[in-house]
Amino acid sequence: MNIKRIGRFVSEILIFLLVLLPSHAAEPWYKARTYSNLIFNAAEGESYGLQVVILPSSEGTQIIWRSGSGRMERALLLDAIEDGKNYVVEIPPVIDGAGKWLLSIKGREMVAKGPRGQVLKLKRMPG
Amino acid sequence: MVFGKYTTNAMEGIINPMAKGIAASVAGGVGSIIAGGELENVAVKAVYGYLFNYLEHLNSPINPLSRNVIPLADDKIAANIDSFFDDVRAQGIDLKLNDAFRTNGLQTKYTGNSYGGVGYNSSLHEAGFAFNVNWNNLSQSERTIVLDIATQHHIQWGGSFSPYDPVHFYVKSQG
Repeated sequence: MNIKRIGRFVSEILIFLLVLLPSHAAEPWYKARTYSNLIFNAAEGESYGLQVVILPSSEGTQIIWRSGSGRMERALLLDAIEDGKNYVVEIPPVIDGAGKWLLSIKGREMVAKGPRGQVLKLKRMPG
Repeated sequence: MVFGKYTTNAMEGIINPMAKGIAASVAGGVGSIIAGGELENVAVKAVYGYLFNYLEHLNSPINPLSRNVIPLADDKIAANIDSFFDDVRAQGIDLKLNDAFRTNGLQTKYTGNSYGGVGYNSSLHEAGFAFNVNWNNLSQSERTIVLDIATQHHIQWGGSFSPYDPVHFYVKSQG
């Protein structure tokens, strides 16, 4: 009985791996991808963190940059320099955190390294 | 008139003309205040949050990128906040004030609840006991120094909040 259950569990895991993982691998190149570690403290009404949307196009990659510095900053649409799984983007001095940022994709995580040594880890959002 | 009494008390010792204006508008029953260049309509009830506090002007540098900063804090802690900024800046760290006192109307706006009800009376910003800094511009080593100096000034940090709120610093009311 237990062996049957274990067998069924293992087969379900295998089906999950075979069906779900290739669907990610087959993602179209032009698909917008969102990474975020934004958090909102409702009691204080304060946002902190970063949300990055990668927008590939035939003309190059653009990035939507939304950051929280207490207030939720306005979104910026910026050109990015793409190098494999890395992107370099320059944040203009209209919000906190201005300067050159390096964005590295590692699996379903993005590591954002800022001009002052800031390091943020962003998770891939569904969709 | 109960509001007149509270307003009289609140206005004693208020140095900043803006704070006087806030209190005066309540006394006049206007129900609206001028906050950082914006006209905010608030219910009289919502004014309680700061009527009991004396507010004093902060001389700490304001981040020019931040909008609608009202550089006021409770008079019991304003000097302490200013000296905290002085001590941090003496270390060569460009610490700036991103936010300080908030009207209940501004607080409601920031909580994303523009219809009121639960969006205000939830933060020490509304009582002049909290302020925000330009945390996103600080390096890791600068952040460590800022936190050390905050501790020396008995200023507490929102980095221990859940959810995490590292831009936020506050002082517990001494009563």
